[in-house]
Amino acid sequence: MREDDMNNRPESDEEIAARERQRARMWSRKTLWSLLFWIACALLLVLAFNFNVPQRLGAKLGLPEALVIWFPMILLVVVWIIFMIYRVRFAPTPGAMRPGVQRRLVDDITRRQRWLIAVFIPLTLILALNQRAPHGPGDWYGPSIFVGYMLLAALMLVLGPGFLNRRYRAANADEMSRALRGRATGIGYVVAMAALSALYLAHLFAPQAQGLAILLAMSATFIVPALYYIIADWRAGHDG
Amino acid sequence: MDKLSDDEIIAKLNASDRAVAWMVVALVVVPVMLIAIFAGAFFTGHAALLQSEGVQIAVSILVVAGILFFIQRLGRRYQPEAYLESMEPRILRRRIDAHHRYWRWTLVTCLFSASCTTLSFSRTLANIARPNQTWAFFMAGTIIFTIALFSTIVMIGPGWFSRDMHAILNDDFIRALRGRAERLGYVTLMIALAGVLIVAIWRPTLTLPALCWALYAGFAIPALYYVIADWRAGREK
Repeated sequence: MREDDMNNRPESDEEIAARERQRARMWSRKTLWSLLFWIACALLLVLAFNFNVPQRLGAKLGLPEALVIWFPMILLVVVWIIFMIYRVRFAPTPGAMRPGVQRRLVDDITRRQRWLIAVFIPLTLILALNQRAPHGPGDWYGPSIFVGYMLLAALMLVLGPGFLNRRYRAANADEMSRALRGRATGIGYVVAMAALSALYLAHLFAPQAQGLAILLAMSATFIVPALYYIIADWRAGHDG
Repeated sequence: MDKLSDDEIIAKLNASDRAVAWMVVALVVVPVMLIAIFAGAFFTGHAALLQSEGVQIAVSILVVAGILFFIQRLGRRYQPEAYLESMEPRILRRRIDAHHRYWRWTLVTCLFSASCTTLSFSRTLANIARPNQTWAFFMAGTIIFTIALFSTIVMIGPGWFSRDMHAILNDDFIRALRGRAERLGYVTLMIALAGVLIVAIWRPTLTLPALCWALYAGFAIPALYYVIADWRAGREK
């Protein structure tokens, strides 16, 4: 535990919680900027490939084509890995995992969880619409990523966002959050049953649209309860 | 007639429930035994015996006598007068466990019925290359209606259509169990949808049977969890 320099007094739970809040805000800012930077890089890369810039540059420098195509993508992955390593710097404040501090941080963590779910909603739609209709056994890569992502999203609603992160544990075990998640998954169950019934009928009417229909049904099964959770949690007024 | 006390009403209702349960068991066991006897005679080469008028009369007399015996023995324990006040909130609250036992068995029956429907329909759908539209609609309607109806027991709670059952639906314990069952159902359905997507890509002809089984899993797994959890909760002695 860090000692106060002036009077050698151990830090109180409230002080640790305040420092942790400050660090979390900084962490959010850095994450947002890194994400924007990464998206901008990705867009630039797409633009460059669209005008054959890497290929022409590679031809001038006499580089093999495979290297020209894969190098920028590997560079993007490396940028992301550097960011992830940089993230490690934002380890919890010493003493922040104490139960007293965690209880004080529940509202802040819940707000972060709301944002996490809010990010997952457009991401789900982007992934679903990007798959379009799968075209047979050869088209396995996209659907398998989508399936893995949707299962993760469903677990996030059932167990709580950040369920593998011990910093989120106090917020996930909070009774209010559990009750809201319970209601959200109840709604998700009803939506999933309705979606499956609709899929069955859709298959009879338009079997050719089955692939897209399944993707949209899976998205709805996550998005509807997620929206309910976000609105209900926000209206519950955790934040005061 | 003297007015019965609450304890007496509850005791009579419990005795009546037991009597009704035994009657149901008897009504199930007797036809099953008859089917077993007839099938046994048929497969062991004694089918000619079944043609004998004497045997037919003897079996009929035995069956009628058996049913009359059960009605006479168990009917004495059936207490219709106790049912007059059975749905009064004061009695209902004290008999929540008995009602839940009844609904557990209802859910088990629904599970059995849904299993048979899904098994037969999915086999039919898998064996025909292109289902006739009318026939397929009939099957879709049956499957969707059956499973959606049964699922309401897990979603909303047992007896939701009756105002008298509100005291049971609002029982804290049963709400918690239903919540857990729904959570399990949600995850199950997400996995089932993922399975349907995979089947639609790899074996498009099996999409309809896969949808049948996905719907069934969405009801059966949470229902089974609910039945086992409610039974293990051990509210009744």
